[in-house]
Amino acid sequence: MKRNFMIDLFQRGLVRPGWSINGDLEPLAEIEEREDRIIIMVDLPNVRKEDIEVHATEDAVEISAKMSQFVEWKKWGSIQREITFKSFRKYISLPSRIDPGKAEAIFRKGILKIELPKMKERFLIGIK
Amino acid sequence: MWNEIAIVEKKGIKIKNPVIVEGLPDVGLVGAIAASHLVIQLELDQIGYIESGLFPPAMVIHKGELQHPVRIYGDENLIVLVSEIPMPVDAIYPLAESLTEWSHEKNPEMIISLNGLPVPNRMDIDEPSVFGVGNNEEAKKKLEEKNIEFLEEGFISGIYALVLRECSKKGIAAISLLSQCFPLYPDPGAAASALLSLDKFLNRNIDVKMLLDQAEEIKIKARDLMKQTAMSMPGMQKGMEQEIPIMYG
Repeated sequence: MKRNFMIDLFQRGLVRPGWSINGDLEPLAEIEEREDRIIIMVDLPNVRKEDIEVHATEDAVEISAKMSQFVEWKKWGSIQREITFKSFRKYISLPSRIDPGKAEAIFRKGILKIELPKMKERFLIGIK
Repeated sequence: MWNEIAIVEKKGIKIKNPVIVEGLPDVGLVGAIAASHLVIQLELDQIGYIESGLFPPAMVIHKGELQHPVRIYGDENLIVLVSEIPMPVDAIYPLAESLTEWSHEKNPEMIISLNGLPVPNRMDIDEPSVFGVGNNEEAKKKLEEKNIEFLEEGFISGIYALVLRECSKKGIAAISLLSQCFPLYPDPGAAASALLSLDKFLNRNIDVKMLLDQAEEIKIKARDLMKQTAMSMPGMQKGMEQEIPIMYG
């Protein structure tokens, strides 16, 4: 029972840290669903455009980016030792199917904006 | 007791008609980043803290020392309120009331809140503009004298809206400086603009170069506070700030 409670908390991101011990940080991101597309905005400070990789499938987007300057914390938090953050990584499950071939992205002022057109799945229904 | 707000001051602090600056976590963490920079740049000492059972049950550790997450810094003429935790919605009414009551006892020259004003096209803005809201004629005159454009129409929400309201009741001049910002990402650029406008009132030669030079690192370090603050925003009705009020004109 206790274990399930903890798993639930982790899955909801309530106790899961937004970083991993190997130096990956989870970036802040927001997803907006519009009628014809999904827009994803991701905050990627300390990153150059050429160091960003975005991979998309019909139902998910994976973003990874290497930092141009690593960020170091000393004797930090629960791990009580130095940790160096080197990159961002984020996997996003999409709320609708998209056409990955038509996706576009821009990167300005440290913000990555990805526009993902939705798959056209509309069928005309005949009326009797 | 734990449902109340306790503002605890260190003994023997001399304060005379201060300007009180409030920079609590809100959209873009504009106030929180700006207030922290102000404390560091002006080398202000901690002069007190605020505690309440309405705040998250947390303390913060810096360099091995246990500290309250909501702290007050200052000197004889300036008081700065900073917080390392977001304010829960249940705390903002009593906090606004207690802060105003406490400020009134200090006979302040004025109270200035530093905040963000979310704009959808922030990616295209190089230097965010700063708008002002004053709670009475004196405050509005001060904004005019400093050439700060008024926010003419719209909603404001969160603790600074309540501080303006409470200050009106006490006859204290209060101003909110609102800097165009990203709503959900820490925005040191917006904080720098807010500080430059604040300095028109303080005349302390606030240097924002260090803040802008360290902007990328600040964004990374402020990431978790931004995430927690974003979670508390729906309760603050922050979405209203981008809505059009019905009584227009």
